Amino acid sequence: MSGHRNAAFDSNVLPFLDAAFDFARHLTRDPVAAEELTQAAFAKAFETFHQFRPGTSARAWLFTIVRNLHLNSERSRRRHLLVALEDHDEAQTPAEEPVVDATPVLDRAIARLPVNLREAVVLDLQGLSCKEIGAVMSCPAGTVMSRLHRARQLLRGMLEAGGISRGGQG
Amino acid sequence: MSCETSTTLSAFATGALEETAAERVAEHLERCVSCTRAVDELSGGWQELRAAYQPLTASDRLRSRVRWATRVLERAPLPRAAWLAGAALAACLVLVVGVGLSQRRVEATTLEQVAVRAHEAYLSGAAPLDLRTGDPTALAAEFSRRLEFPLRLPHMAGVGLSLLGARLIQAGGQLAAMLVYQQGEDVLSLTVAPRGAVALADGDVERFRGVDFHFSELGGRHVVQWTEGGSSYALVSSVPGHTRTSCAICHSPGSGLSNVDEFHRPN
Repeated sequence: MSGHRNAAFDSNVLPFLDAAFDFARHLTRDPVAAEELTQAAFAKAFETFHQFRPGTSARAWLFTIVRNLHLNSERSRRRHLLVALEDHDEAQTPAEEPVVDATPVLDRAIARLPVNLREAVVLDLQGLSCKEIGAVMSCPAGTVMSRLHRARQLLRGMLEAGGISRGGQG
Repeated sequence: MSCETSTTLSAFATGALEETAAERVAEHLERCVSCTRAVDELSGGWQELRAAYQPLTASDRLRSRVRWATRVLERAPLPRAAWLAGAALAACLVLVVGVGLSQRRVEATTLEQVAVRAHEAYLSGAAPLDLRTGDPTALAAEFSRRLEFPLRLPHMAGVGLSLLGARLIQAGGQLAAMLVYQQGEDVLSLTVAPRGAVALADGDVERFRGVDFHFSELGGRHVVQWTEGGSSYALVSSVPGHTRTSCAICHSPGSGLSNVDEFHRPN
């Protein structure tokens, strides 16, 4: 792999490390799993960087990799019936997900959304357009918009129920 | 295209439009600032929330791991045949549809759980190797720079196990390594973690030359765990059977490995 390509990767993809981790954290709802997923995504991105088309969104491309790896991981987890592991530890698991950032209330509300709404809303919060979100989630932009509005409704309800104003952070 | 009516925008904002109509409105919104603003207002101040959103930031440890992994990949490009084989295997695995289970992920509390999860993640394609090499010396040297304990690799020459590479993983909040081997059509992994990072799962215990070997099964995988020196190990495979059968993975007839002392050699 050439030094030129390494430099291109560093300048195009590495700046989105925080964003990728944020997305991974919301997908997995587990900080350790999110780090593993992020590391795997960057390794995959580095290997397949020759497939990235200059001029397109590196962030959306990276998010697509994060999401696909997560989906693969979830399929594998179900396939191998780690139910014994899950059941065994279920009673020891705290009811609430650990809160690790500066927006705990919003974070917690997002974590309660169904996964397809959660994906859309996190990508939207990160500033991706509906078209980019659709590319990441393999669905039309209209579907994204519908999901976003549904997610916003649910979030608003959850935040107001928690005594949080629309723009406020708890 | 002319602007949408307020009724349509309101229905869109509440997610009440059918798919086709929603896509038509979405296309319009891509080009129309005033309608987008109207939808935002109908959505209830989403822009305020978006502006206030603070994304999580990666830890310095993750930043370091990512940089390290990409640099390692840069120096050790994947042999094409191995990559194709791995990709094919992963593709086959992800085609299998599982039954619905709990979506909740819980923290792995034993080395057995850590090792099986890492093994499955690798097989699914979700967790590619950081370094692909068949050279244990090179691998140990590279990984020892990142791990906080000396990595002692099993000496597998002559036992039919081909080293494919390794990946950094986490075990009890500490960095560990998962080594992946190919044996015929089977893929085995050996997780090496700092002693005490996570507990060994109980399983059936057999003592051999002063070392307790824990034999167990999780998620259809057979696991052998043991602690030796400053490291704990977990061998994950699909080899059916128990105790002595599992030992035969490495200590097969003709392997020249007659005991555990010979099995591990310092690099």
